Amino acid sequence: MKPESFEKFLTDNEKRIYNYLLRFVEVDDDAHDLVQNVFIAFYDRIGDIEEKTAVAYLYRMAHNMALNFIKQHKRMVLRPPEDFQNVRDRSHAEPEIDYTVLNNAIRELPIKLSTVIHLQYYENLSYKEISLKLGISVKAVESLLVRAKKQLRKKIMKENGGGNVSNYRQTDSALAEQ
Amino acid sequence: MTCRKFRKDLIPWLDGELKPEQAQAMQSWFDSCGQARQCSVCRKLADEYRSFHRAFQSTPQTEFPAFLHSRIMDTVKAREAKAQRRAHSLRWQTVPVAIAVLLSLYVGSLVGVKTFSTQNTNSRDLSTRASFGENGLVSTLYTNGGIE
Repeated sequence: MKPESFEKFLTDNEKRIYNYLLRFVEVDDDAHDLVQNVFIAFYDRIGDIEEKTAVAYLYRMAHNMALNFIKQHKRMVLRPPEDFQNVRDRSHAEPEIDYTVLNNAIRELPIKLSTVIHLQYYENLSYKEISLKLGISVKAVESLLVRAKKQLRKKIMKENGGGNVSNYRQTDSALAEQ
Repeated sequence: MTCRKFRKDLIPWLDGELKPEQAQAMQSWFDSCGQARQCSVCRKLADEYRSFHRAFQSTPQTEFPAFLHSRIMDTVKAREAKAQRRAHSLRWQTVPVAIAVLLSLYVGSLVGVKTFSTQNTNSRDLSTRASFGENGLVSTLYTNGGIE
């Protein structure tokens, strides 16, 4: 890829990578830092990246940087009170769906699987569109999505203590009513 | 259609990615699932994946902060400028290095030529004296070296 095409690439992909990273980190400031680091690291290697697989490469970088960030910040660190102003407000009861469970499950998926899930569900792309974005075949996209959803189902069932996947909605509704 | 086939194509069917005739076959099978245990498993699976789909689709999307775009581009432009300055200074540094290499080659060749031509002069003198029979090193060697 040419350095001149970087700004257009940034405009086309900034929102999706930002939302992808928000699945990993809770604090907006951390997501801001991460997204900057991802795109600047991408720019540093731009000459070596092929345009066809640039989006897949970007997702891989974002995923790895997010996991490293979480690993580094795993230990409890005393944060000043003003940091908590930027934490997402979860005080109101989510009506049915616990996004934390979903986000945790996606976070644990391998890179390729979380990438296709993100592109399908958060961007509403078809299999064909995903295959064009990632430079892989439609059959490969289908296979990855099937694997991803099976793994997500297993993880969510495990979170629910072996219950139904749809039970996690009921649990949160019951909690909200208390 | 069997339950096994149904479950194999379940996810692409729910994603709307099957051909119309395949999708129709899946729908007919799903609708005709009776009270048999296996069919209830198919329904349960389909419901679970549908609830996934709804959950993911309803996840709120966050707008990308505009200031971040500018910040990233500013950093990138600063790096570009730095790389250009480095390339420019490297170009200028090669000129004195090239001059130094050429100069050393030139001086070296001059020294070599002078040394070589001096050696040649000395050996010509020796062979000339020897061939005309003058006393010199050669005749001394023959006298003292016991070759006689």
